[in-house]
Amino acid sequence: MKIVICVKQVPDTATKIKISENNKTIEQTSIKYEINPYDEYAIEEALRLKEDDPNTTITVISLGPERVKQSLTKALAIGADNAIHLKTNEDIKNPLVIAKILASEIKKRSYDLILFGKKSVDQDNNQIGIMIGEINQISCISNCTQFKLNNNTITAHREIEGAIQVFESKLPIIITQEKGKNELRYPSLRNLMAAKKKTIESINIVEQIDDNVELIKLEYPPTRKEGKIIGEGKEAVSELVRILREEIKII
Amino acid sequence: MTGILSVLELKNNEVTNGSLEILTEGKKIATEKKQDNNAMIIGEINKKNIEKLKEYGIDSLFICSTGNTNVYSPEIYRDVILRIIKQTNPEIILFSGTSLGKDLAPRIAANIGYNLVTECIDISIVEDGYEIKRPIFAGKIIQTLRFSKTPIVVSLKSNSFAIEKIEANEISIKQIDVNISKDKKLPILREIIQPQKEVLDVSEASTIVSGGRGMKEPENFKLIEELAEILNAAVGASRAVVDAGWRPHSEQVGQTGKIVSPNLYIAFGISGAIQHQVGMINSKCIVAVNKDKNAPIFKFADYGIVGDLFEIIPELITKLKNK
Repeated sequence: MKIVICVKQVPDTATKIKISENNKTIEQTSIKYEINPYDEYAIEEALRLKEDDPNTTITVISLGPERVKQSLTKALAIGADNAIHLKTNEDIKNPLVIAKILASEIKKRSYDLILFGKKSVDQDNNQIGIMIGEINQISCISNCTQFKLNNNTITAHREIEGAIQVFESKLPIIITQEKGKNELRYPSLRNLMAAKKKTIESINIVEQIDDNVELIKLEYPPTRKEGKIIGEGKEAVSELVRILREEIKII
Repeated sequence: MTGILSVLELKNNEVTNGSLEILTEGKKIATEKKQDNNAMIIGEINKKNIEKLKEYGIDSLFICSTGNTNVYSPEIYRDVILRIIKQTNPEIILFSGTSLGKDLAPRIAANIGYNLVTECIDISIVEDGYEIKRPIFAGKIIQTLRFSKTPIVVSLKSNSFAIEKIEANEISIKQIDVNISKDKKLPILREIIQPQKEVLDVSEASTIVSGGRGMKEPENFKLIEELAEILNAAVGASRAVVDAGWRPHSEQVGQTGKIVSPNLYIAFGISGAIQHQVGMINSKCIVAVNKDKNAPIFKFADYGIVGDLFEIIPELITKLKNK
């Protein structure tokens, strides 16, 4: 079976994001880049499938500037077989443009299972994987916490508000991965050194500009006003209840 | 291309609040641009709900039944929406930011090659199009995008827009029977797994009671559950306790969980790491209980109590039971 995972490199979730003086970009210094967490869950699912069926090949694809190679190397170190770098000068922001580029690369090779994180934690667009299904006319089940394969049939658990929908489908299929129960694995230093020697296929991407969307500005959200400590220990509880009931009438 | 098309949702036979949010926003745009304000719904909608919708300024409501619309099929829903788009030619298609909207909006946008902008918190009409604000980096930054070409597909972030009624008007009802024979190769919804006890979801609750590592043991979440029940609240959890397997991921609040904005968020034994903070900072009122007076959560909680939560929660339960 051939699996591909589209991986995005994003600032680590603990990073403090600073807006540059032009109000349109973020400061690159001090950013530590990582694989998007939801993509890591997707990689983990693929690695588990490969443990069950050693005939599986896992390819990781990443679109972005030179630095995204680090993330591809990490994916190779934890068990991916091949990596493809779709090289651009900088991050492309328009989701529809990204979806079209990835869709055309995916179409060139026939994969049975195409995995995405449900969203990236930087732009929070929540749309690329589903769009690619539509563009390439492959079914997509989004927001899955887990899935199982049985020959050519996949059973996937899609999380919705307060319940789980269980979908069944034939391959090929696109899955967008929600955080599941799997624990992530981390590369050993030895595997990381070995992965650095592996070849990453590199494809230059001609960037398409979408004139219809323009970024006007970035700004910080309004800050919350300083709160107050109303007391210590259980003696403070009656004051809290009074505030919630009588002052702000919220309960 | 002109006018608005809002894609409404039903839950337990009621039109959802998210739908009323998009209707309110749709009406504002339609009024300002003097355009038609249309809406569609897939499924059976009763008279009571249609009555209710009269106060939201809808011109035409397309009620689409596909014979078996209670069973969600992304492809059938997509095809029905595409059909109404073809019929009405809207310049903005509005979805709510629910699991359904998140699944359908990208399908529609990619199918017809429109841009989709998700999780919007503000839409303004400008000379050459629309300016839309949305949070990025889990809300650490707000971006403003200008769309100079329509049509566009827009999904609104839940609980970010007001619901406003106006004087009731007659809606032109258009009943659409869609008979789509389903391709056998497409995904089929086999079953829906409901929790044993019906629980409120953090993304829908107006009050959330959350617990973190300070709860010490999974069994101690009984206290959180008891308090949540009294307050008619959802139970939330920090990433630490979800990763430890104490609580399900559906309860996780934060960057890799849910981003929530309830009226009241009460955090017990949660230190308030940035990844948790971004998930709940837009709550209207935040209460934090932590034994460490230097915990970061006290910097942004409206009201804090420093102390032992195993004394404080039972006391709170007692006080709340005594009305």
